[in-house]
Amino acid sequence: MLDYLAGRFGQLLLVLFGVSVVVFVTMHLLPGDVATLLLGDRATAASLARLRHQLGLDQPVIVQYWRFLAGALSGDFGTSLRDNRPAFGEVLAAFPVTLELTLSALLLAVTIGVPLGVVAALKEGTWIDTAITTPTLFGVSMPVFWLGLMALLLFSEKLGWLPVGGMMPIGIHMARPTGLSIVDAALSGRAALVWQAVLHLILPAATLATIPLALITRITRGEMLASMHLEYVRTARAKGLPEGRVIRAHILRNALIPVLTVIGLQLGLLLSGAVLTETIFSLPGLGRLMVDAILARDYPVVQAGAVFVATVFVLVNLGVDLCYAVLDPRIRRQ
Amino acid sequence: MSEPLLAVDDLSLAYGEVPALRHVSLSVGRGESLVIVGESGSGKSSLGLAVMRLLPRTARITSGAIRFRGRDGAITELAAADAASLQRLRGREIGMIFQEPMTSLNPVYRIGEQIIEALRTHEVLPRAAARERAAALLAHLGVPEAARRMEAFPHELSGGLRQRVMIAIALVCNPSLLIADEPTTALDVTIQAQILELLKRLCRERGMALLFITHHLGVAREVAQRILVLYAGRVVEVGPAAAVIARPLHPYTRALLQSVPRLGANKNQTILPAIGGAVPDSAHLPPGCAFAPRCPAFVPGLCDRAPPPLSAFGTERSVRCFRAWELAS
Ligand SMILES: Nc1ncnc2c1ncn2[C@@H]1O[C@H](COP(=O)(O)OP(=O)(O)O)[C@@H](O)[C@H]1O
Ligand code: SF4
Ligand SMILES: [Mg+2]
Repeated sequence: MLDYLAGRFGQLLLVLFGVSVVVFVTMHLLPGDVATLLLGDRATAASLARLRHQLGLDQPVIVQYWRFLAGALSGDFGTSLRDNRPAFGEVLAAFPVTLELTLSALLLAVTIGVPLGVVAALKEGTWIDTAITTPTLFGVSMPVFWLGLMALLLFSEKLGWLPVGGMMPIGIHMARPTGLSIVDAALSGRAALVWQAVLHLILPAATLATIPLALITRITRGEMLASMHLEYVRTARAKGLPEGRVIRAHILRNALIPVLTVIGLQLGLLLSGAVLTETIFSLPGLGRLMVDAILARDYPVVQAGAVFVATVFVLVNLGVDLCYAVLDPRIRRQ
Repeated sequence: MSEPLLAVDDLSLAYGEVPALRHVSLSVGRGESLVIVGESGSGKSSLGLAVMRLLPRTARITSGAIRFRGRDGAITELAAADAASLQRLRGREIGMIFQEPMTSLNPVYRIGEQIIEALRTHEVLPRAAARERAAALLAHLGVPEAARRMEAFPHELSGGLRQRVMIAIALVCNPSLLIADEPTTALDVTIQAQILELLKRLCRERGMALLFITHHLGVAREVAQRILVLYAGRVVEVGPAAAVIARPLHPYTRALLQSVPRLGANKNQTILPAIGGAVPDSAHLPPGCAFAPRCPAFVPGLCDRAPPPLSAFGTERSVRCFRAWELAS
């Protein structure tokens, strides 16, 4: 197990190193000179040179990368070219919004998808099965952007049941110690604020959850059906276990292992989906920050954001792998 | 046998429209061992699973009854029993072990856990006590370092040890009947002999009855008090093991004896080199004797007109062959 952990940690460092190289190279290969972009066409050669020197752009690429890497290791990606605030700080400030959105979506997808998959499998071939599986066929291929807009039009614009966007009604102020709006609202001790936070989160989270929900339902159903007829399930029945326990402890327990992998893989999709969702619903999250920063060539922020997202992604995958090892003893020895 | 432990009466069973068992009757007395022998596809597993009511959903019992006498003396008709009474009997009064000890154990639980689960399903006792009993049973079944092995996962054990774990699961509640469906077929020859020896010892110690299923007459003769030969879903011969082996009445039994001489040889034998051919397609049996196409003693006009009945031969034996008497003399 320790070897396994050490190996995984080594992999993590490698991936992060790769990401840093890719991010660095991409930003420096982008068409257009950063200094020109920042100062505009009418800048003098002298001011351009001064800015390049300030930004370190007059150094050899290797030196630039080395500075970038050294800075990145201490969380220093430079300051935003737009407002001079630390780039990493902006990323950290935006992250809770994305985290809350992603976690809510994941929670929705798992708590609804797994039971739906189980029921569909237990009722295989009946109308209940069909009623559950047919929508998931559309669900997996739904374009998030279109779905979000439609939901927004229907529930907010037309029916007026849910807020149009943002995280709180305009004009409401509360302290934001964690940046997670539901948690902050709860900490403020005002129930009405919690309710508002939830209302604002419903549409974006549901939008983002659609694809993973459909996928998790399908995978759970498939894995349940696959393990249902295995011989150890027959052994469980031969022991005289009640059917509920056979399903929970033997069929579902083993079916969940591959489901967990899919959930882990979904996290990448969720993060990219979050970019779109935040844009549609005007949420000040990481996705929005990155899009704005890319459009403005604010490369310190883009670099900080990319490295941060990659780190989160790799850590989450490590976590999933560890869960996997706990759930499936056969993995542990490899 | 005035009061059998298990009495299967006229049991027929089909997968969809295809019959797998045709009017099978048998009985197992307390502490008795009955071995079901037949080639692959003859319906042995279906019979064992029918008693446990663990048949796949596609299987239907189309006739007959399966009566089991419980410890309290009450008789349960298993073919018609509800889920609750089946759960009460399974694992507690009837244990079952299977051919593949690898796939029959759940890969994600420690083996101790899997034994304890069986025990605590039927008996109210603290975990620690259950654990102690499970470990003691494992040790009794010849698992070295049983207490430590309780923590092992199935993939960490050899096939022989896994089968011992399966036996422990089946026996931990002291059932009065053990159904063993080809429990040694997947094992090496030496391990095979050890497991057979172990099963015999356990039956003796506990007064437990055994319904043992095998395609291998060499294995059958090791454990059987009585032998029942199944062919294409029908009983073709039944009688005391010694008599059946010394003087088989049915040409099929004779062929089985000739083709599989000793324990260990021909491990996965399914065809009979002595006679050739294979079990007929169960959906289209020949009109007369099902064994007719392969039978060396076949007589046209006699054997191919109607199926022969299962007839008593002396007091303890039965045989399904028109020519049994003639051939026996
Ligand atoms: N799940 C099943 N679905 C359809 N047919 C089956 C199934 N299981 C067994 N059978 C058929 O029933 C007959 C008896 O099979 P089985 O009881 O497994 O025999 P044995 O254990 O003697 O090899 C065979 O013809 C087999 O093809
Ligand atoms: S009835 Fe005829 S064909 Fe059938 S086993 Fe007897 S001799 Fe052979
Ligand atoms: Mg079989």
